[in-house]
Amino acid sequence: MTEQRDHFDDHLPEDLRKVSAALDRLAQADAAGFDPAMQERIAASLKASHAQHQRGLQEHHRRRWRITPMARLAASLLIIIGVGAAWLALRTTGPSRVTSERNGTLARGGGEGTPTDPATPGLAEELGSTESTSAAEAWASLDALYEDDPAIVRTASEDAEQLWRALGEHATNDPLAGLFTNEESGGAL
Amino acid sequence: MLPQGMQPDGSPTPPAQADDAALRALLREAATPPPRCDSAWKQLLGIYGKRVFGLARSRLGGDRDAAEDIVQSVFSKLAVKLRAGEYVEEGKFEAYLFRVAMNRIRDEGRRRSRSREFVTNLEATRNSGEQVEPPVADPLSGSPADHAARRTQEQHEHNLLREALAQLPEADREVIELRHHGGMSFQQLSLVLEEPIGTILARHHRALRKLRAILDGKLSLEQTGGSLS
Repeated sequence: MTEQRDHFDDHLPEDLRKVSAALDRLAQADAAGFDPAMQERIAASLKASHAQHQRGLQEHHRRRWRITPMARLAASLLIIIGVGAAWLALRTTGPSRVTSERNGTLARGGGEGTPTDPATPGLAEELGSTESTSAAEAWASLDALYEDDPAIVRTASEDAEQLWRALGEHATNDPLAGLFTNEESGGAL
Repeated sequence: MLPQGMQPDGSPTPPAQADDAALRALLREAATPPPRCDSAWKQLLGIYGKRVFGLARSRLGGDRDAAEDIVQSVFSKLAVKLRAGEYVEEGKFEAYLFRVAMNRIRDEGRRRSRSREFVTNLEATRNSGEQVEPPVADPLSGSPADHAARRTQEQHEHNLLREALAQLPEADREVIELRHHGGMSFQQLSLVLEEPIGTILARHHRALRKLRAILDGKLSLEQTGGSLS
């Protein structure tokens, strides 16, 4: 019992040394209850507790990664909400709507509409879109404006005439003018 | 060649002889999974089990079963700490082990004081087969009767000491029991109780004086034929 003990007790007064010695005897008597059978029992229980500890660890890991029904439901709801939100975002800010707006029209049903060419009123009619009809009407009124205004029509034709003339003069002075000569059209461009 | 930590008779080497390297190797082996660690635990139990048991038994009023539970609990905790790598041996293993033991014993003491089981148990021990009757001198030295008388006298002395220890203040009692039941040096006591060694020396001396005074109050040593001599 006293392997680790130092020798301070040797310097104690006689009466205290007697008490110290009596305490050592009591300690020996108390420790004597620790017999080999008890040692075996404790060693066996240590082994068992290790196995139990391992099982506990495994169970802990299993529980940690197990998806509970509630978690599964929550995950499903999150996915549904996410997909819905993405669909809504695309529907409201998608490129087809931009294109449609740029074309001055919106197809019925929103966003997915085929760009409607105002020059093809048949398609607009087919789609039956009020917006398309309006655009076609706008083009038509523009045409009418050009037709109805003689000044605009005249100016345009005068400008074209001047341009043709300038091109003809340029071709005459050019040494490569022959290249531009068209026999069938009577010489000059 | 003898295995590490073993004596020629097969018993574990006492701690004083087991060097640090051997203890480290033993603790490393104890941290491995069974059955590899079985031998290491048997050795550790052989070296320290008796001392922890004696300490627990004394602190718990001589209750053998409770002391066994304490030893089991202390070594189980040690096993968990070693396997989890939470204890690293730095030459203070014994201090660590006895600190764990003291904490466990204190917990048990608190539990008992709540249920008043401790007092009842002490009284039961006092009134059980361990007689408290004063010894009767037998003129036939060496006879079975003499042996029985000596044994009775020893038990009487032990009971007196237990009662005296129970009357000591907690701090004094801890020093006495760690020193005598735990078989620790003052240096180790200083580590376990986290006090300067001078304080521990003084406390031990004072505790012995108090114990002597209590024993003197209980019976005259001269009248018992110097049983504490």
